[in-house]
Amino acid sequence: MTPPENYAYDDELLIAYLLGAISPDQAERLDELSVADDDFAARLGAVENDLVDAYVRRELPPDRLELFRTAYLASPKRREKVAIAEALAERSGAPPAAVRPMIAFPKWAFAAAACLLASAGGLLLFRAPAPPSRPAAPQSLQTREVPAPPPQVPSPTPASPIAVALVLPPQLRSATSIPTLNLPSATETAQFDLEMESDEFPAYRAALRDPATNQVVWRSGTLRAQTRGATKIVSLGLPAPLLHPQNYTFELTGVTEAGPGEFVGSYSFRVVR
Amino acid sequence: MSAGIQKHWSPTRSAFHHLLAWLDDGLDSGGAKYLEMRRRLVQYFDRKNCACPDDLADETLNRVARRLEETGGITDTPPARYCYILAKFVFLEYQRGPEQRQVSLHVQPELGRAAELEQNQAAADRANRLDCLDRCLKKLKPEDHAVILEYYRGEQRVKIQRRRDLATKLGITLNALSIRACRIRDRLEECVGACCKKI
Repeated sequence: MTPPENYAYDDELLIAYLLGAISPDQAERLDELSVADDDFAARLGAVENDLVDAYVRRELPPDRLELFRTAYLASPKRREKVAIAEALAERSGAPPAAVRPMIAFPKWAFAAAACLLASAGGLLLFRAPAPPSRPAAPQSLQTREVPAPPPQVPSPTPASPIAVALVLPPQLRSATSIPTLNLPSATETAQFDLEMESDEFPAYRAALRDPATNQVVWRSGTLRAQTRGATKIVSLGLPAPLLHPQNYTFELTGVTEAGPGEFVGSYSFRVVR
Repeated sequence: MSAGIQKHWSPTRSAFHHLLAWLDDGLDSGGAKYLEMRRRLVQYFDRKNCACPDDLADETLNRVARRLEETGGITDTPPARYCYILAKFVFLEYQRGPEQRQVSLHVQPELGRAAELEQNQAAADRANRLDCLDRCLKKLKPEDHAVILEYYRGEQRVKIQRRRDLATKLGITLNALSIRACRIRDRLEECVGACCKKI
């Protein structure tokens, strides 16, 4: 059956459903329709594609944008859908500015962090450059100023600490202390390099577990191993506000083409603010 | 099982064929109904933020196949609705799993932002994805290729008008066009996903 031209389903309701913004009862009803009703499933797919495209083209209003970021992008599968939508928008002739990456995290910051990590190999903090009128923050042994970015690269929050980075070695039975991440309150991003004894899988996934509740509080998408000197590492970044002053453990899993692979290792660390 | 639920049974070849025939409900779809149902189940579990939606979808269909084997047929409930009922049980079982894999709601906002960050860090993957998209677009039938690019071209009002024009040109309703475009896009996404895994 083909629904009438004015559609049997309210697209606004479908968008709210996709963004997790409806009551559990409504969601359960729509869950059922999404599996059991051909017309509903088809319409939901079309609405979802348009929603994703609107995000990619920056056409979402602020309230919907926030929900999209917090609810829709919570899944690696849906993030991949967004990534494909970006590619499709590019091939459909969307203006280049409309399909640039969704957040403007300056690449030079990651490059600088990588350099600092390579030279120090331990806990490091780095800051975006202060504007010319503001004096630079004092340096400490663990804090370095990142060189000024090229003029053409905008910095969204130039005076705030934007990222901290921590290299985590594999957890050993004999370890008596765990690495500590010192996290200034305004930090946006925590970057981790998980060192591995060997690289035996084509890809990896990481989960961040709160040992106090035994709950996974964050999951990565698919990660690839990189070589840094003689060491194999898996790099990942997560939003610093997610981390509270307590202990955490990353669990790294190797992924094979056949599906979920094996547990590779765990990496514990402590956050202090 | 990785999804944290007990995997009781795997279908035999004959049980799988029985499942395909039951999902087809009298019309041989050549496996298309099975693939569509699996896709819907994967999306259902993914919307529930389950860690392994593919595994849970497969487990659901395995249980349906087993039930079919045990009873010889299920006639009192339409196939798609029956699949949903079992999916709901699989989800509840998953939720009760020892590792509580579902992320609590209060941390999801942070999780979403992390997703954005990952996107930004995956700049190298972007080029691969575009390359894969080009390859997959070439595999489409010429008419589907034209529809998918034209359907998603333009912004807001321009896009809506283009879609109306395209529907008129093809002699179908706007709703039929949206469903057709969605199906082409589903195939495209599947193709790009598989291609990116190979690279």
